[in-house]
Amino acid sequence: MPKLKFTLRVKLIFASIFLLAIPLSGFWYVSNMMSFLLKGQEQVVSLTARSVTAILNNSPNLFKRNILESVDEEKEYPLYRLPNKIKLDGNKQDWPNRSKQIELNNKEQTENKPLSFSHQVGRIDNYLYALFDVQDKNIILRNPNTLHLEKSDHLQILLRDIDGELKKYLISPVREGWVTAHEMSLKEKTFIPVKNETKIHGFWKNNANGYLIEMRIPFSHLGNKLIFSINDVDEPSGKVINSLSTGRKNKSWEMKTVLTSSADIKKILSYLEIPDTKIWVVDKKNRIRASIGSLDNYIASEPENLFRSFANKAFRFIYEYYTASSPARNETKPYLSVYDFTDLKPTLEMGKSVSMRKSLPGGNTEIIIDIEPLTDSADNIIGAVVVEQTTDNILLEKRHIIEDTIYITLVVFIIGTLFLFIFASRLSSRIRKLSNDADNAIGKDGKIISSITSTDASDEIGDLSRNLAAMITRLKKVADYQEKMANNLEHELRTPLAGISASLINLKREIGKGDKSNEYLVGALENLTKTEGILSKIRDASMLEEALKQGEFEEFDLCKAMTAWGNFYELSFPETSFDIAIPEGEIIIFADPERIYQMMDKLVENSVDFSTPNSTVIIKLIKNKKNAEITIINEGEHINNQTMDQMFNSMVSLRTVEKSDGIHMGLGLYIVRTIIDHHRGSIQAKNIDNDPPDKVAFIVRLPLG
Amino acid sequence: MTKLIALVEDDELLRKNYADALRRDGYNVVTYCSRQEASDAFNSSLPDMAILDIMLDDDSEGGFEICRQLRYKSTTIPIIFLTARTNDVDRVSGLRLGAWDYLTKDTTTLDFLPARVSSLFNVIDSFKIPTNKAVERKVGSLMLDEERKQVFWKDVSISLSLTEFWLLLCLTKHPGHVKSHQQLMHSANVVVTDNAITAHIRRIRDKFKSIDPEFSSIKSEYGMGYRWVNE
Repeated sequence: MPKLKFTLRVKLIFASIFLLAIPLSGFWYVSNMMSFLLKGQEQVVSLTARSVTAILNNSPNLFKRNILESVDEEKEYPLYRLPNKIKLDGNKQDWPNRSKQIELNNKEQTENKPLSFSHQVGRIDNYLYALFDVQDKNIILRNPNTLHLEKSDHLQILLRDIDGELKKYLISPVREGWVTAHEMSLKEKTFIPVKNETKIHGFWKNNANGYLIEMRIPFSHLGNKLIFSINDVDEPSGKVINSLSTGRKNKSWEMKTVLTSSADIKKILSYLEIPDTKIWVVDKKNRIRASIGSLDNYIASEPENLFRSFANKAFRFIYEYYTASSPARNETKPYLSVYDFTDLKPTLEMGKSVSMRKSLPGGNTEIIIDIEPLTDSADNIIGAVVVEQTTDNILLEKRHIIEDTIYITLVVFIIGTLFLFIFASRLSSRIRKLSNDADNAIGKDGKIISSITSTDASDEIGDLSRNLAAMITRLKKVADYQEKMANNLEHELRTPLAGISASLINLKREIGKGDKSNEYLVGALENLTKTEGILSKIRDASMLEEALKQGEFEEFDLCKAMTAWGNFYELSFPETSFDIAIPEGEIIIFADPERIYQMMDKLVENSVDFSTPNSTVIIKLIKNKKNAEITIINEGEHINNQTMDQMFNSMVSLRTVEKSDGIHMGLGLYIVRTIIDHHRGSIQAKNIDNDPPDKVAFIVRLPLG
Repeated sequence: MTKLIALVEDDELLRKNYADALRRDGYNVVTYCSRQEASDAFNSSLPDMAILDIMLDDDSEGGFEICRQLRYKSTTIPIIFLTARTNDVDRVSGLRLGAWDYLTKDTTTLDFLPARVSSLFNVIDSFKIPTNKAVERKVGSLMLDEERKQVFWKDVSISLSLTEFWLLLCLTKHPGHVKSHQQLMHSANVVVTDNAITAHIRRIRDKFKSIDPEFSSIKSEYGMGYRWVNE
């Protein structure tokens, strides 16, 4: 795996992870806000409950008019809240196990024609639900052609409506299934339907034992008195043989009281109506005496897309982390607008104030509930006030805030990271460019090749680039100055040298030939000439590049040239033997012949000087695809790596052996390299060690003409 | 009659030595150490030859100024320039001043100065007598007058300096023969590096090419020497 360079970009990406602190702190803020708001709401709810309690406590006659102490089942229909929603489908599974069995007493029981049923009532929202599980061996349903509702098995309902009027209804189905009630005329002994009351309806289902009726009556059609009776007809002719009511044993026609709500309490509560709030007043027997408001407007969860669900999950995680609470997580029974009366026990029995929160199915809405005890003037507990409020306002806000927070912080995070990355990239590339420029400005040998262009930027990198550019310029100036100084020096030296030699020549001529002093003079003059020679070499080398430009290129045959030169070398260096290999044909290059000659001259001289005595210098010329290649190999010490880099520079000399004329300044290879550069060729020095003894090779490549 | 040579050189040692050497050769020498001094003197009377240092007292044009002044007064007076740098040689060579010459100030100056002085005096003398056709030599399109040191290429006169003339002479003595750098140096009465010979040859070529762009009679022999080729 490639090593990850810890570049600026990488560093900045790591740094930008800290930007994650933004969304996290957003969440933290929202969590705290939510906790705070929810607490506030709880307090409001509690306050409301206590206010209601206070008001009701101050109405001393409130409960007196109502029978609260005991539920006389003979005289009363207690309206329990049904725990589940009842589906009117002829299936009694959704009813709690509270049905009471009602049977004919001995007197009324006719032989072989028993009639019994189990029955319960309950309350869901604004309806009174009733269940009848009738055991009847002989089910006679109404003939569809007849108007006589009473000539078949039927259910009779007798009630007083809200206005106090007596009403009679009959449910007499033609067939199984959906049934509605018919309002009957009240004339004694007549069974004439007045109209079809569809609002009182239910489901009649036949089964093995008899039949099942699930039905409901809206409270709008019901006052405070109610009684049911099941009437059995066993023959098609339709004579009622048995009738069984849900009333008292010896006063079967007396209607039972239905405790719907306390008008007084309701009146008081109506002043306290608050949106999204439900206020219950419950008496000691868990009967709801009054309620106001509804929670039905709770807002269903908005459809969750992927982002929302992610946002909500993320938020929940952090919320729980911060507030160390798990809202309603421990509730096993979801709230469903029904009471589990164990919730009220602490209040009703011990007078405790209770505050709790439950969640609605769908997960997001919660209900805040506060229960306060109601006491009479003697401080006896006579009931409880329950206030319920949804947290929808807060929750809706919460959702919006979460989403906004997440959107904004994500956007900020992404943009922030992007900006940082772009910035880092730019910085990185600027620095890299500067680094490359600096690298390229100075060649491998320390020679200044080009200058650095500085930027106008006013930041640190701009400063750095300007500094580097200034540095290079200064170095160049120094190098130029030194070169110039060398020139100047050379020039300055010439004049005195010329003067000395002129004086000596005159002296020599004055003395005349015979004088012994001539020896000294001749020696002196020779040395002066040598000195001047050194100066000339230096000058020539320093002006070489200029001089090269004035040379003329022409096309010439390197093979012929090398042949001619080869002869010359053999003559010039008689102590060295040469092995010169020149191919057949011609190799044409476009070059300055004098300079190529000079280059070869210097190289050969160099090789000869460094070759071990009595060894052979090999000169090889070959033609490559694009180049002419000249190789000169001499036996001798290897060149070490340090020298390899430097040896083509001016004034670098490897010599340990004094040359015969004693003059050597390390210019030869410098001249060679400069000439080769001028011809766009290349030179390479190599140590050869695969063929002892040690050899050194110089390989020159020149482009073909 | 003894010739009078005027020597204008600001370096004291050189001035004295050159003057003494020339006197030893039998010439009268009068020396000047500044342009002003020489200028004033030449206003009243002219020498038979002037040897001028180009750079006088930080004035890089000093020698040329005097030269112009002298040329204004006399079209025939020979002038030898003493040059310190090689680019001065270019400048002198470019001055279309006839058979004049230049010499570098170095350890060899006094070795070659006498030859130049006497050659130039001979050139002047040869102008005084009518043209001696016998001394003219024709080599292809080239015509050389050895006494007057004049050169004609395709009948057009080319003004070469003395040194350049000697070099050309050496090359054309045996057309087709290769002359090495050494041989050329010797014939031109100079001791210079190979580079300098190359530069001289280049200047000669350039002068021919300015008249005849097709000129290619001086061929380099693989860098080892030069050869004159008749086309």
